[in-house]
Order: sequence, then structure tokens, then C-alpha cells
Amino acid sequence: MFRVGLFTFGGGYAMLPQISKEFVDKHKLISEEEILDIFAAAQSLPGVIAVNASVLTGYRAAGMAGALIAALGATLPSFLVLIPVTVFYEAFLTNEYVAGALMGIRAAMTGALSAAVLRLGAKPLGDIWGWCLFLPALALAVFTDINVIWIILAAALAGYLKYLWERRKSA
Amino acid sequence: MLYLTLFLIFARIGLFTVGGGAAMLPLVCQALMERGWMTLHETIDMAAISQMTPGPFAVNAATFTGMRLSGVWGAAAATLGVMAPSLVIVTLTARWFFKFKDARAVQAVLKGVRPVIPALIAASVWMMAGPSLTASDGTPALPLMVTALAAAGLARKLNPAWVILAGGVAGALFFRPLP
Repeated sequence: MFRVGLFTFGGGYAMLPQISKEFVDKHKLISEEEILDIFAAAQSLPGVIAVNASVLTGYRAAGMAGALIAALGATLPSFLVLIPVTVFYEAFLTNEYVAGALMGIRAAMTGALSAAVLRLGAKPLGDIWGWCLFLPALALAVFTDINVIWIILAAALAGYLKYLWERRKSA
Repeated sequence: MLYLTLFLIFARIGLFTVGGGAAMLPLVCQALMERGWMTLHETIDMAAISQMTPGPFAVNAATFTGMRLSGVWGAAAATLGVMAPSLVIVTLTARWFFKFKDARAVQAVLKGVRPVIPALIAASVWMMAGPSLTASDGTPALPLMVTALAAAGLARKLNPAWVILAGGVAGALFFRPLP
């Protein structure tokens, strides 16, 4: 798991194929089918996908202790890499090349995030229901100081109420 | 007790992150800027660095933030915080997670949350766009181009880390901060 954490660039999704390669193909601890269920659960349970996937995989392979070790294994490399990176960031902030690079990075980051919006929005915004949640959430987040946790909770509640409504209608 | 605060803030962030790392960004931004712990520029840098370095975004972001605010122990507190909800929820549900996955009520809740996540990220982009589109020496056109390129590149399933890295190289070559 340590190795998986170390070679994952760019977020949790990139990590899933790595986990599958290590645990299914190489060590044969988990079946192909099980790993797919694990990934589905990792993405729908609350929490960080990468940590969820590690914990589930570890639990499946070796129980509670496996879960703990997998979680630590997945996070330790990040932790060890980020500490010197942060020190470097603080020390070189005033260097003109580093400052220039950071400006370029900010611009590219904004672009990359816009792309993430498009990618994450594509599926849920396929119907009117999605837009009814998307637009008010956007307006609230841009124009008010409301805590985003409330927006997420409200959307969860809306989803649940819609479910109850549909169930009553069909019953 | 800064360590405890860091732990609790990141535990809350971890708990309300549904989906990938980018979904977490609006939560982190708000938590940090509200308390005056980081400027908008620093927050954007934090996000970019977390995206570029190996490992899950959420863990990177927590380590970076904790480290900046109160050193190695702060980093440890924030990282443990962001992991805590996953550890607790997943180990509790691991036994029946096959059933859980199919529960229709859970799916319904997720269907409510999913359209909102891109809206929250869009709001972060809105906030970041201002300061990131003009370099401090006043050249606005080039960053804009980099931004457009990045967005286009990502649509073709390019790893965002490379886009950001390229932005950094371009920045180091073309942008100079004001003296």
C-alpha cells in the first residue's frame, strides 16, 4: 500500500488501478469482482476516496489490522513528501523564478479546476433535477458566505425527500 | 489548542467530501480563509501543490496546511483528521458494505449531493479566477491562455498534474514578480 500511495499522482481516481494491480494481479489477496465492489463503495461512502479504498482493501485482505495498516501505508508517503515540499515552498517563495512558476501554476490550476467542474457535472446535470440543485448551490456559494457544509446537507436532504416522494407515489 | 482545532477541521472536511479530491477544495478554502489562516493566493498554491505531488489530494492538502500553520505536529494532526472519518465509517460499514451500496435511500441521498459538488467547485474557480489571471507584473493574456489550454487538455483525460506542472514551467519562464 505504501507503494500505491507513492505512485499516485493527481488524486484518488488515479489510485484505483494501482490498488487493483497490486492486490488482485500480484498478490492475489482479493478477487477481481470484490475489488470492483470496493471501488464502488469507496466512491459512495463519505470520506476521501483513496483512504476509503485503502481501508476497505486492507479490511478485506487482513481484517481490522489490515485496514489500519493500509490507511497508514496510503497516507504516509504523501505525508513524508509534503513536509519537505512545504518547507521548500516557504523558503523559496521570494525567489523570482519560483514566484513566476507559482503564477503559472495558479492560472493552470484554475483551468484544471474548470475542467473538473465539466467532468464531474456531465453526468448529474443530464436532467432538470440536476440543474435544480446545481444552480441554487452555485448562487449560494458565490454570493453568500454560507458554510458549504450546509449546502451539501441540504442537497442530501433534497435527494432523500425526492426518494420518499417517489416511493409514496408508486405505492 | 491549535492541533485539536486542525484535527477537527480536517475531520469535518473528510466527512463531507463525497467524490474526488477536487470536491474537497471548496470546504478547505472556506475553512482556511474564514479563519484568516491563509490568503487566497496561498490556498490556490496549496491546491496546486497537492495536485502535483504524489499521493491522494486530500492527504496532501491536509499535510501542507497543517505544516504551514504549525509545523510537523500540525501536519500530523490535520492528516489524521482527514483520515479519521474514512477509518471510522468504512470499518463500521465494511461488514455489510455490499448491502449498503445497494440501499436505495443511500443512492437517493447521493443523487442529491452529486449535482451540487460541481457547483461548489465552480464557485471556487470563480473566486480564484480573479487573482490567478493576471500576473503581478501585469501580463494578463498569457495566464489566460495557459488556463484555456489546461481546460482543453484535461478534457482528453490528461492527468491534471501535468497541466499544472506545465503552467509552472511557463510561469517560471515568462512571469516576473514586481520588485
